[in-house]
Amino acid sequence: MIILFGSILATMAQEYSLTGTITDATGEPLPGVTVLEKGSVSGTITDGNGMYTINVAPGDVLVFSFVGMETREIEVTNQRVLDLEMVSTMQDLEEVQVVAYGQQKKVSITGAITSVKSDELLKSPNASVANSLAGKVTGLSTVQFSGQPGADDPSIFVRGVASLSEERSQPLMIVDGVERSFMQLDPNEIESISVLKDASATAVYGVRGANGVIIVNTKRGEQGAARISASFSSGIQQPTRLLDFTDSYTYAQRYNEAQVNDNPELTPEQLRFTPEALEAFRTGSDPLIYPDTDWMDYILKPSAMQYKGNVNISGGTEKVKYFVSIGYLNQDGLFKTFDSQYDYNFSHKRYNYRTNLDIQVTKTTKIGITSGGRVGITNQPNTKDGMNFLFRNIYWSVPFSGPGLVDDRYVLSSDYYIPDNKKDGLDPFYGLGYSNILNNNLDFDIDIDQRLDVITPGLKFRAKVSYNTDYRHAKVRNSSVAHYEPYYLPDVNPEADSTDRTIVYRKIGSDGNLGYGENYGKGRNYYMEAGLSYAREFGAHNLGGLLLYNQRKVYYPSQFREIPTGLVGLVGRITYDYNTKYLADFNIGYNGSENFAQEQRFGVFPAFSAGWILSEESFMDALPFIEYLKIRGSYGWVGNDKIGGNRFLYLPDSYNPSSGGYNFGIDSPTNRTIAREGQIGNPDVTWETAKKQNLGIDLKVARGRLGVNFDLFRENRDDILTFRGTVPGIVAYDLPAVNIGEVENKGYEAELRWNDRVGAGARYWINLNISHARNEIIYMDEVPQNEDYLYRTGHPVSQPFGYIFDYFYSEGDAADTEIPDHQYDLKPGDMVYQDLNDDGVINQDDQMAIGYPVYPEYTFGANMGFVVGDFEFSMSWAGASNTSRMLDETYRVAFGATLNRSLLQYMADGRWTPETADQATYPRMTLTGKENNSKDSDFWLRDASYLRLKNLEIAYNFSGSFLQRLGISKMQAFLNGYNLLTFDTLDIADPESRTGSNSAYPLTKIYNLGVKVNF
Amino acid sequence: MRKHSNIRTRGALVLIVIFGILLHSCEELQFGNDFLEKEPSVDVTADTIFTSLELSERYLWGGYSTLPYGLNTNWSAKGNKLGMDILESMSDLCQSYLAWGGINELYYTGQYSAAVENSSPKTKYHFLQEQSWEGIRIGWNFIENAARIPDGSQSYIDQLKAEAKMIIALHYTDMFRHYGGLPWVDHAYAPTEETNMPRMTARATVDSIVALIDEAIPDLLWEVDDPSNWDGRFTAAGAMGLKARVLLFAASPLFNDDAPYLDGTAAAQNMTWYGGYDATLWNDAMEASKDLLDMVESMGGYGLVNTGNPRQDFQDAYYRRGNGEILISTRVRYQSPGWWNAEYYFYQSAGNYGTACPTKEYIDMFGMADGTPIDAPGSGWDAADPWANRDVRLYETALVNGDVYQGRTAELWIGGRERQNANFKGTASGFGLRKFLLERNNASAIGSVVHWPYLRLAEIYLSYAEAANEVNGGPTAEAYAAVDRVRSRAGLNDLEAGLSQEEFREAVLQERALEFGYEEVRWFDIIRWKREDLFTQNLHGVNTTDNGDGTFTYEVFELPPRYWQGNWSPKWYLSAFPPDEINKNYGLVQNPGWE
Repeated sequence: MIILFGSILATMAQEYSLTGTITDATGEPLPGVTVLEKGSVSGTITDGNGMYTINVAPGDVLVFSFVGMETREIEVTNQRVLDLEMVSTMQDLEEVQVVAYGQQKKVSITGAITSVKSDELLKSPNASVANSLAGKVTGLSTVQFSGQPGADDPSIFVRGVASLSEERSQPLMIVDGVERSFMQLDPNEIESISVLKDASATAVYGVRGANGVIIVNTKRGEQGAARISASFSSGIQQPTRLLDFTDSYTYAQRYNEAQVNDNPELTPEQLRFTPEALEAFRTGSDPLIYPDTDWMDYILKPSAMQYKGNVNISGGTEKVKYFVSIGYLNQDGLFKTFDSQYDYNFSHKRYNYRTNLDIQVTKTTKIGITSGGRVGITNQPNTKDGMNFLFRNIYWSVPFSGPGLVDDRYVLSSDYYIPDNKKDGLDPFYGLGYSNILNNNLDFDIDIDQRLDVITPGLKFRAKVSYNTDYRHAKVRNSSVAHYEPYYLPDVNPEADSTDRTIVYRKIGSDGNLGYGENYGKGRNYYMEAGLSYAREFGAHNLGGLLLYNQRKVYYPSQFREIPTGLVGLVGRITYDYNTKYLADFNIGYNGSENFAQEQRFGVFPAFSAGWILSEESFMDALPFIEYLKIRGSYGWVGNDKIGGNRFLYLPDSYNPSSGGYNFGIDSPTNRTIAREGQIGNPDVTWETAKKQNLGIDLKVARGRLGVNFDLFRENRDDILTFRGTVPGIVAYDLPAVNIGEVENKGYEAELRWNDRVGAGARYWINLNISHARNEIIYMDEVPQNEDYLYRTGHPVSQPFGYIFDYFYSEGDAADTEIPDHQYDLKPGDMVYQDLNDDGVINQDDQMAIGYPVYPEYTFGANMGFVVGDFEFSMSWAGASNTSRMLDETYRVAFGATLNRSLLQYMADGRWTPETADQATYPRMTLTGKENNSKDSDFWLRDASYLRLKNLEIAYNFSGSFLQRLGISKMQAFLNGYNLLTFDTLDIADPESRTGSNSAYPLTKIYNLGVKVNF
Repeated sequence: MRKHSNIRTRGALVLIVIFGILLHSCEELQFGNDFLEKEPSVDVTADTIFTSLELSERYLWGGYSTLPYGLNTNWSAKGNKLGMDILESMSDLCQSYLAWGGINELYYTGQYSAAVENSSPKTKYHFLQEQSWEGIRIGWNFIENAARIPDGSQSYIDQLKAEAKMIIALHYTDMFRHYGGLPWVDHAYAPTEETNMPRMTARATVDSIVALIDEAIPDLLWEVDDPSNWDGRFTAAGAMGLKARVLLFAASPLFNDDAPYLDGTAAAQNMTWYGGYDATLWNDAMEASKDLLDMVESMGGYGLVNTGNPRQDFQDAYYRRGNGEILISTRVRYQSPGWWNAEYYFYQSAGNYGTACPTKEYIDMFGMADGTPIDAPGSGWDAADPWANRDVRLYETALVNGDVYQGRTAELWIGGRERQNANFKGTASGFGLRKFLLERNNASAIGSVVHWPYLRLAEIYLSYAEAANEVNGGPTAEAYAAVDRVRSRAGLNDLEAGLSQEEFREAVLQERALEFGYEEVRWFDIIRWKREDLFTQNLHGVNTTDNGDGTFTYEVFELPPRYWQGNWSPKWYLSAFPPDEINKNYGLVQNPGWE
């Protein structure tokens, strides 16, 4: 016993080997941490995996220290393993944040800026990187209307809408300091995406910054050995939701029902679908003469493939750093091509390439060369009425219009058996050929950064020249196709036996050869800036400054193609902080826009902001659980010079000397040229001004594990460029633009981040965010209305208006004199609307604001994940609410506007009949009541709120010595997906899609499998 | 050390060269404000236009392009008025089966209301989309600037100004027929101007139109010079014809009666009538017609197409440009571009979708080949072969079973080639349209030279007869002669002698229906005569069945009902103004019944 005890004591005194892993708050291993025995000089530092081994004796005190981290002292008891999570002392003091025209230390930021890093974007397999931002950035909302390969960019809003239209509220997009779109960049090229929301962040963009700015920086090389990263993945795309149309039998039944509803005296023979036709549809006895085709199923594949790949290399020496990337994306479309001789299916191939170089030319001179571009090759079918109407036309097709392709023949049923014009699902595109469109973009920038410490320490000269071109070449291969109409033999040959059911075909039209046509497009622009920047510490005083001149010219704009557009600006910034505790920024933009006359051309846009890091104050020591607390506020003015595509709004009058023609004479084919008066100019027009206020709090508690950001904003947009609404129509001039609109926009953003680790090698995180922006039209020049509730003023921009559905009229109501006059003979099952002004008549004046615009007022995000050992899991949910979709056209009117188009299943199922009157969700089947029943009303305005699993990724990191032998530092297999689950109440169509005449290619979900290897 | 600085110098030099090249490549290097100035380009302003005769003329041609065209042509705001229907289907002459056209959606269902005028492009005359006010602005703008045009003789400039006045007068005439009194825009407005333009009385509106026409007449040529190239420009004859048309409309009972057609604020302010019966109005209408007919007699150059081939003559009279009978011709293009072409949509809308199916009532108006009414004793009409031996204008207006068509006979029976089944919209009333569609083939209509016969001389003869009958309390010999002149071109006998005033009035109205079907005459005839009876009667079609032995069975059926047949109100005579325009408070007053 004593011996035993003694031996233990002996052991305690003995030195032994202690190991452990040091990580930061996020669980990332920390290499290079110094581990010292207190009071001695012996110690070690952690290796690349954050591991250390040190000989200790119980009772020793170990000191862990690392730059920027709180130094920790821990007494050794007799543990063998000592893991430690280090907490940052200076609150990520070194972490930088991308800001306009540069970077700033994150702690000293006083504006409202949110960023996303590259790895967040890489988890999503979708093609347009802008879609990956949904739910990830507070204050930013995206609406993806289409899933078409190569055309799936979403609409983007920063803090909602604050001008008088959605188009004029689009944010400015900057890539590497130059106005360019980032949406089709390869996410592997992207270092970070930052969204600048308040005036202090965007004032320097002056006349262009009012709608917020999205800054994207591409990756650059870092000093070190070459690092090669390669990834490849392949995925399957599927439509999130397709419209569900009725089959032929249901269609025919409902159509006949409609005819009888409208005129009960009709006999079965007088109905459009004869008893024979109905029976044939029901039994499917005669699929050629009485076809029943589910067109969505017939023309679309259940899924389409996509492939992505990227190889990038980065590294560098002290003198030269490089980042080189080549990316590839191939998305197939959903269309079946049957046995067509050529491929008309949609597809999009995208090759992204980039070389970013940083060269230290001299000790004080740096040159950056940024060149990137992409080649896009899009294939698409030629269509009857243009791409915008392709899906509308497909949706209009009826199931009995033809059986599709039978024995290599394109068969369309004849009007002989089923009367009235009808279109099939192949008609809008089949046999019309295809187009192949090449897009080539090349962006090239040179930056110079010259330190001028010679003049005064901290001073730098910087300049940038950027030249961007794009080129488009479309090859159009037109064709035509013959179709065949099937007939029973006796119907074409009177000699034949009248009961003979042999099918004979009549050929109509001819099969064309593929023609060839081409068209081109081009664009180029250049941008240059030059200026001075300054950053210096004077004791506890940190002072920074920026003064910069820039100008941009864009050639071949859409209006007046021959005259390039120009923009000129001066940028100024002063940043000051005292001891990184009291912060103050002053930003100023001085811009000129060619849209305005000399006197109104230049505007000054200043913004002030200030911040106070309370957690640095000694009185906060009483609240030790608060690691970091900053409050910040900003106020400033920003501008917007856009009004559609119109330019030179100030020129007094303009005429177009050749606009159309008029054909005089008797036999003179040549038209006489016409001259027309153009838009009247307004020499007083100027930019619209946004007065923006922002108040924010950043908080970190629980040893950095919980982070909270909260921003509150308000914007008053004045002098919005718009047109007067009260000018008599009979003056008949093209109205000049005037600065009269006024919109107020306010809201908040909140973000909650939690991350923690559980034991060794396991950590998890969760991030919840919510953004809210609600705007209100304060002033627009509106025609006086008969009722107060008819005014757009006081409602959000693009607020839908409509009638208020009351109930379905039923037989017993006939005697009820309370029913307002619908100026139409109501029949049972028709929609009865509320008479809002109680004048006894339902008319224009009975419409009020209903629902919400298509852009959401609330957006939500929930991003979470965990890492356990070699497994990584993450998912990202995005949601939106207070957004509506107005069902229109195909989505609203049974049999369509022309009464011979398609019928959606929900209409057939939910229609009103005397028996189902109580649970009817759709008015009676009718042809004549269409006008009354399809008015814009709250009945058709559907809630488009949704919550969807935007993203999910499961990854496995291989480990083992074989990797090292192959020189592989990391190898990962991953499975990820996009739009995997959707919870919503719209049901009929995808809640993000448009539900009217401008139906687009269906949104897709993607299942994707891939590998990533780093050398 | 030395080497180092060498590198530095070289580096700096390279930089300077690179920047130099980049900057140099930007064509003209400018900074600041200079950079924003609009680059030199050819700015075309009012000064450019009106200091050149050619450009001024181009501007005036733009005015011509605003003139109305009675057929639906394309999907532009102006080209698809009534949502691809035609005005005739509002009248008793024909029925529209175009389910999505304005007539079925708004008028047959009674869904039309003033509010519809705010936004719907499917009404019979759209206050703002018809380009009438654009045409009026062009007219005044041209007139105000004409003095600046440097070249061209004074008489030619005056002629151009007179043409501009006619553009204004024509638009006002059309609007007057749809709305009654109107605000008078008397110059081209600038954006800075006050816009107080009260609606005028019916009388003031007519007087203003007539004054403008009277100003124009002396400066216009009697006939177009070089008609091969310039037919379609306003002439003095066309101006006199327009004056006759507007005065006849003004003199008719709709506005010229002991009581307004409907009470209301606008009626109380004499905007929708003259405030009482004024016999001199009929006299003015008669004189205006007479003046033109006398001029035609003395000056020549115009006359009814009459080569002794009645059927072809009648077709040429409305279809062929430059035929000497057209007083005002408007155009949208040179040739029709093909049947399924969306740039001349009327072929589809009438031929396939049934915007213009003739009614049995209309068919029955056509007498026998010699002009005897079919129900007159001894007319020779055979109920078993009802479409045989009729007024040739029937065959040129409607497509009836058994007529010569595309080198064969037309098959209008159910199952026949022109009516494959009872639901085929193009001939759903049992009759098809022939006018403007001709034989619906390349040999006749498709690809032919087209125009809109806005006003034909034949109308002036009938207008004269009608007015003379009212002025004299009964038909005069001249009135008879005028009607017979039109009838004789169609190969018809003279009108029965000894008709009473009412009978003669009815005969003239019928003659106008037969002569001008689908030429936008009938609607205005039945509203100006306040023919409630024609609005409320039930209309019919005829189903023809082929008995297989060369005989046919005819079954009369009722056409789909129209709302106003059972819910008549005189408010339908005139259109409503868009309430938004009224609410702008510049002086519009809503028409009775639409407030």
